Amino acid sequence: MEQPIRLLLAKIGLDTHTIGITVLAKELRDRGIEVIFSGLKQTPEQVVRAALQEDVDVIGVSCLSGGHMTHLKVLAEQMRALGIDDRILIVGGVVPEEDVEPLKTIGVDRVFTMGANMDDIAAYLRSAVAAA
Amino acid sequence: MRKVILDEQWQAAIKRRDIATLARTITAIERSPEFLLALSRYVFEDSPTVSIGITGVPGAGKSTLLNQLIRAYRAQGKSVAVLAVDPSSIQTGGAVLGDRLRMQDHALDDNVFVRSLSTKGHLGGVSETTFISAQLLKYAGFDRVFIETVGIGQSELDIVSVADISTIVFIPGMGDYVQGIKSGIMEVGDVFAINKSDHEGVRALEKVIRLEAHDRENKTGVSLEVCLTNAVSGEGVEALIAAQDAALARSAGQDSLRRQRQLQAFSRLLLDIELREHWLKPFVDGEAGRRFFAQLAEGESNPADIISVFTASVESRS
Ligand code: B12
Ligand SMILES: Nc1nc2c(ncn2[C@@H]2O[C@H](COP(=O)(O)OP(=O)(O)O)[C@@H](O)[C@H]2O)c(=O)[nH]1
Ligand SMILES: [Mg+2]
Repeated sequence: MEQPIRLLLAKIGLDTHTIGITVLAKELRDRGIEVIFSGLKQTPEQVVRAALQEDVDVIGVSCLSGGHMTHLKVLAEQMRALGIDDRILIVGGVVPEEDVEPLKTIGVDRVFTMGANMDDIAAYLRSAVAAA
Repeated sequence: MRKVILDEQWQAAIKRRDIATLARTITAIERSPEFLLALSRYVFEDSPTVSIGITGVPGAGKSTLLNQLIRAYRAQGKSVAVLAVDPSSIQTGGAVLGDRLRMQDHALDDNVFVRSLSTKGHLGGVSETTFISAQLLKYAGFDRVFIETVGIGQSELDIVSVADISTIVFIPGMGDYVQGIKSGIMEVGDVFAINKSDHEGVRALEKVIRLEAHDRENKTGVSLEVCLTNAVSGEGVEALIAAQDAALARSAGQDSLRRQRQLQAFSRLLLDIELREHWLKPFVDGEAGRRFFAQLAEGESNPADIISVFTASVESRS
């Protein structure tokens, strides 16, 4: 069998919207991805340290309560500091259109918002990890 | 894949428990059978540290208990590594690995290493790479290496040939379940932990388990620790640690026996992998195999013919 992609899923800060990330985890598992849950109410530092230990290919953060710009900026900095900025970084949830480009400037590779198609997410992960 | 080369630099990094190197090495073990084999030449030197298996039904509180165990060992200044195994989907190979979230309190602590593993379809409660990964963590010098198995039923008991000692976690309120598992689970394991001691029915369960433990003691002459824990409050965790230490001390006399059992199981595993990767897979995916399955589909051959077809293909290979 093809080796599964390892993806760490996390929520940062006080954002308690858990439905999206739960759905995502199950749907991606059903598409052959190994999803590691690092839990809710994490700090960016905790997420990055977990990613290092788990040696994941991708870090995925779910943000629905508006903190995405600040959290992702710190997260991307921490990834560089730990030398894991070669991993793919994706964000999903409620992210206004005008924030997508600034997020990419920070170091986010891709943003998926409400109604994102699961096959598209899985296909993106495969091509991005293969290219990395 | 991020390459791992088994040179002196690698060895030095492992010995200083460099997290990135440990993490990459465990990935390489999972992704390459050749690497697994090569690594086996390095990590079996005597290490003074021990591995402890934690097993029990899904939801028994294994991960939560580990969170408390980590906390307690860290208070003693000991370093801890955890391999947490969860099942993968047989259909897709995907998995949701959720043990880690219970232990995230320790994410920033350099002396705590937590790694989630999926079974990759392997039955028995752990993955094929769990033993050698635990060995790597011992070799790196973590004072305690824990292995959390998948939630088990009656028979997934590979952990006994993977870890030095095992703790079995029971919970009240499962009625006949205790009867059902007596045969398998209660014959193995070194420590019985009754978790969720805040739940109703804990006294009744304790009674049954103490009886079973006593029964086994009478038959084998080996004593067994039983303790009550509440993994949420941390109550009883110190007693669990003492019980595990007692079990370790008791089994110290049988070190070489246990070692033999582990190494034997691991050798057989390597043989399994070799046969699968270099003999079965090339046959099934190759010309001869494909021709056989096509004929089978057409009704032109019998399932039993696979043996002679396989044997012929092996002979033509050598
Ligand atoms: C359900 C809900 C709640 C529930 C949450 C229950 C739970 N356990 O999750 C409750 C009632 C608790 C709640 C509370 C609040 N909510 Co609310 N909530 C919603 C609501 C209606 C739906 C969210 C949802 O579950 N969608 C269904 C899932 C499946 O979709 P999803 O999360 O978007 O995920 C999909 C994609 O985005 C993507 N995805 C998600 N994460 C990720 C991650 C990665 C890596 C990838 C690749 C993809 C991905 O995949 C998913 C599947 O397609 C939204 C409105 C909306 N339309 O989004 C508001 C909304 C998110 N909530 C909002 C607010 C303000 C709140 C509160 C602060 C309200 C209040 N004043 O009390 C509180 C507090 C929450 C907190 N502390 O964080 C706002 C946020 C505004 C903002 N971001 O600027 C929203 C947008 C409503 C609004 N229009 O104002 N909420
Ligand atoms: N009340 C109570 N709940 C517990 C206890 N231990 C674990 N839990 C809860 O049981 C659930 C499953 O725990 P988890 O550690 O994930 O179980 P695992 O599947 O065995 O790893 C979680 O919601 C825990 O909070 C306990 O001693 N008492
Ligand atoms: Mg668990």
